[in-house]
Amino acid sequence: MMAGAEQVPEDRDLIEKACAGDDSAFEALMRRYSGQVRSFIARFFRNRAMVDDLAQETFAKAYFGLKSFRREAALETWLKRIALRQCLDQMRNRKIVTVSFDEDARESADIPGPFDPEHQIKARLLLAQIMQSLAPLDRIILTLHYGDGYSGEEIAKITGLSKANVKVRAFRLRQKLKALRDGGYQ
Amino acid sequence: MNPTRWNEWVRRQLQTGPLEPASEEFFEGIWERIREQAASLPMQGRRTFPEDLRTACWQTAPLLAAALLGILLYAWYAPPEIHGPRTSAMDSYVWDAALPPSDAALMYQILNVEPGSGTEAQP
Repeated sequence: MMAGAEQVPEDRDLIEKACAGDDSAFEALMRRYSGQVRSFIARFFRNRAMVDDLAQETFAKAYFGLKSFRREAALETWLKRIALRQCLDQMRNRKIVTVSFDEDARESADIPGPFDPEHQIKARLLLAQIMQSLAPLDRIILTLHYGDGYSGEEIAKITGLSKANVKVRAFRLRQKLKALRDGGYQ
Repeated sequence: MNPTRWNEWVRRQLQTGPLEPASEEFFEGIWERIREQAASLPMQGRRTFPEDLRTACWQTAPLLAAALLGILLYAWYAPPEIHGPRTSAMDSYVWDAALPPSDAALMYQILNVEPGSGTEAQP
């Protein structure tokens, strides 16, 4: 054991303290999970101001709901679930397309891959079309599953859907992507 | 077409760049929101609403249980002049309503029951 090593308080202890009214404990939790929550939201919105706005609202909601947090799930999952709700509301209210195709994104997305540059642009536009046609929840599943490699179980935990439901939705999305890959998507 | 490359392409399309760390203003903004939302709550005790609800449920549960027990005891032990014949009315009502007269008669015959009495006929 290292002498003088600083003891990092566990989530459980911080939650207990925060529930008892210790705001510094909640502050510590916020700082611990701000990165994960902001990155999670940034998967659906590229506008940084909006990402911060939704993340702040997520933590404010977590502050008032912390006592109802059941410790069966990890705090991170619970926070992501709150964040997801914020994102869904935002998407429904503003009908935002979650994939932007600005020049930066295009450059970063270009890989020596399935298409020549011209076809990549076409495919990108079709992918945007697919995203636009999807329900917000399906957009989120597509992004989490295909963009970030979340498992069906993880997505089920965050979205509150059953694993079977996530599987079915993911299958339908896979079909759409396959059609896009094979050039059959209209 | 190579599926692995295709998946990689889709993944890149759906990914976002790295985020810079949250600023101090970000955290201050959260506390500001919390203060605003706390101020707009109608009562100070709003934060403990689930606990209040749970307590209220526990307090009223014995009363509700006692009331339910009373209703059951009354239904079971009340004299017939209050609740009427215990089974016959219901039996004949259900059968007569559900079956055509000929079928109802047949049913009474099969079950060896007097129509409308709810009691078994004597052999």
